[in-house]
Amino acid sequence: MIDLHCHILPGIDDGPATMGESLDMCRIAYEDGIRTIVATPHFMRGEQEYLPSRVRAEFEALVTEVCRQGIGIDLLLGADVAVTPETPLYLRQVPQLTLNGTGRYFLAELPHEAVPLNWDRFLLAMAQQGMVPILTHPERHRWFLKRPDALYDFVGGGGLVQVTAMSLTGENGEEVRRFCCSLLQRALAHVIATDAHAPAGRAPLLAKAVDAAARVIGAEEAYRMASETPRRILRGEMLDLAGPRRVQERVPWYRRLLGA
Amino acid sequence: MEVEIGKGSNILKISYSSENPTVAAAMANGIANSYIEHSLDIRVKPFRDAVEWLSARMVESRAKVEDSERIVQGYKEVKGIVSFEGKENVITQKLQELVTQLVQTESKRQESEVRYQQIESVIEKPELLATVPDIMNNIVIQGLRNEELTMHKRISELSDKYGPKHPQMIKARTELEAIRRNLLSEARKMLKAARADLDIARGRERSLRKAIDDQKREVLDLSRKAIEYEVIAGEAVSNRQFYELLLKKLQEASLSSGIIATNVQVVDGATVPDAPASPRKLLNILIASVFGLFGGVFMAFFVEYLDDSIKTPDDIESVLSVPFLGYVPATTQEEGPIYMFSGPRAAIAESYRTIRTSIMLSSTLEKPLQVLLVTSSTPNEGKTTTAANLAVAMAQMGERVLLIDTDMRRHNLHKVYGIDNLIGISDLIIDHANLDMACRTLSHIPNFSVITGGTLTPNPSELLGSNSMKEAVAMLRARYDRIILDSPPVMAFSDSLVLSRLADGVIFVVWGGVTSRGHIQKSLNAIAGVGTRLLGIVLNNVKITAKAYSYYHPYYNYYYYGEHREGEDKGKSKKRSVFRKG
Repeated sequence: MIDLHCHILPGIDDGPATMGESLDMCRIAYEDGIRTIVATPHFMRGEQEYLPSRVRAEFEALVTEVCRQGIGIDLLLGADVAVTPETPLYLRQVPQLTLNGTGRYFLAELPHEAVPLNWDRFLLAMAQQGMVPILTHPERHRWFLKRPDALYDFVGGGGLVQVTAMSLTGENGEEVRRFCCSLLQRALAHVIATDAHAPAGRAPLLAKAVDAAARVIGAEEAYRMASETPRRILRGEMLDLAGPRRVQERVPWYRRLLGA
Repeated sequence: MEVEIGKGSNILKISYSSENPTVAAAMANGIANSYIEHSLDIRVKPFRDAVEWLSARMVESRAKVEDSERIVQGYKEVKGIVSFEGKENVITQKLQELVTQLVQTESKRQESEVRYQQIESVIEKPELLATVPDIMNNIVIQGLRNEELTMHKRISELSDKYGPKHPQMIKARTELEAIRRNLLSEARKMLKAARADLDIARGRERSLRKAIDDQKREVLDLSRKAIEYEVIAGEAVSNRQFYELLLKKLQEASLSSGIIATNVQVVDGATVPDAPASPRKLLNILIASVFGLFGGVFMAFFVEYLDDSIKTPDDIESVLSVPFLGYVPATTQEEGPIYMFSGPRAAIAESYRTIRTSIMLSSTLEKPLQVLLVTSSTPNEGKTTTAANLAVAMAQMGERVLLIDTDMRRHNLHKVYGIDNLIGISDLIIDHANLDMACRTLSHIPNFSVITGGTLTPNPSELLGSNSMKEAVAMLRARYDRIILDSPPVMAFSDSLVLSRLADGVIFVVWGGVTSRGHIQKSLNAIAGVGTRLLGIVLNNVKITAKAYSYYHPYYNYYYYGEHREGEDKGKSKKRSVFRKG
């Protein structure tokens, strides 16, 4: 399996602080069946400059260490890109921010406080320019939880969606889990990734989430979300997507009663 | 206390509530009993009154009876009468006897009188003696008569034989004379006896008459006494009868009052209850919880209804139908008003970045958002803070940003950045030559310039609406990527509306939980009237911990993960603050 979204580089962001922790995470991932990890540190322009060279250096160090320790994990480099008006500019300037440096796919993280206006139009405009956004964990946004239909236009327009493993297993709450299942049913999610930050708590574990997804959309499709689709993304290949499915949602009686 | 009248029956149900079960039972029973007593009183009262009255009369009557009887007794004693009936009879009988005796005595006296007169009439003529039967009936006279007759016969015989001077004849004549003398004396004796008889008879008659008179007097006296006695005794008897009548009535009344007593009865006495009737704890709890629940729900809805302020981001889109740019969490931190450099509480800085992103994503090639107006409906909603932080956030992203304090009535911006306010926007409008002096740069914020309020003027609206202001803004557009105008509130002055004509978009700031929807809506309508594009609303003072932030739990437990670590390892804080998010 391939983990497309993992904060595994030591000391770069709120992921592991030390190399030891990073290596622990690699081992845990390997035990879980993950063979490829994309290191995706947060990228966010603010008061400090993002230093691509430093990230690359940390990445090289980790790769060296993983090889030395003989952990059977392939490491690739990407970034968890916070969406700002300048994102297209940055992506063009620093190809390292796209997944595996192909310049085609990138992880797009929306601000947590509020989903910005016109986020979908903006991201789809980027997709038009050949930079395909993979929207990370929409289930984390209250805004999306309340508006499941908001992703239809985005996915229909060519955007991709990544859901987090722990959200699928229910570790982030039942509401979040149900939302994820709903996304899977409607084919509004394409990739399952760990969004791991530490050896414990937010660990790089995928197998359980794939099993959970399998119960919703079948084992084959679930497995594809953690293997085939990420592989194509990392190669910068085109994905032949069926597009979102309209599913008649079973509305609970009390919801119907309330007219919600 | 509660009294229930049974339908169709004469049963009264008496309930009494008390904290003490014994008291409750005693009270219920006591009330029943006193009710019985009372009803009895009402029914018995006439009888009792009667009894009382009768008793009083009885006493009087008794005294009367006693008096009258004592009088009768005294009368009897004084007059020596035991019984009138016997005495009367005796007296009357005696009188009758006396009368009878008188009659007898009278007849005897008359008889004696007749005999005496007969004897007296013949006494001088002895030859007529023989005509008186009484004398003839006398044996001695009869004997003497017989001897006379015999002598006669012998004288006659001797006269035949002997001449008148014969001794024999003289003897016989002497003898005859003796006999005659005897006879006369005898007759005289008889007369005397008759006389004595007559006297006796007369005396007797006299005494009898006297006795009869006495007796008659006595009878009269007695009958007079009897009448008096009759009066006294009659009175006594009538008194006694009246008394007896009273007694009878009294007894009847007493008996009646006794009989009436059984009219009201206790059917079933109250017993000491095992469990309290009130408070029925379970019921009370139930009622209380139901009322509490409904009351609470009602109150909650009512308070919610009364409070028409905007509190959460959801309110903005659902209630106001206006785009939501972002919110700023409530903070008690003293680090403000510029939060963009603050370390630990980066959530606020993040908020401003998100707001900036929202604004920028709304910008299109056809309508670039170069000049932005920040306003609100009422004062103190956070306009200056929002404008100041937003400007810094934009500058941090590498844009050339100019922030202008166009609130000419209350200059604030120079305080925020800690600079003087000698030459500001008012001076610039008056003389464009002041442009370079007015645009102040700050050493610690690159790409950032600020124009303060400047000299206070009496006519800010005119100044802001002047052509000179338009020209100044046009000049500044050429120099900067973004120009942010901090303005006075919409509800207070027309300044903001005037300014909005110069701007490409309006950012409307709302102080969450305070500003009412009515005010917001009015202000938004005013802005819409000018025609400048309303980009959306920035919501200040959002209680993240209370509501909005909890949306993201538990997923967001790691939100401050990096910051906690910063506390332990300050050496890396600078690097990590770039990549804050989890």
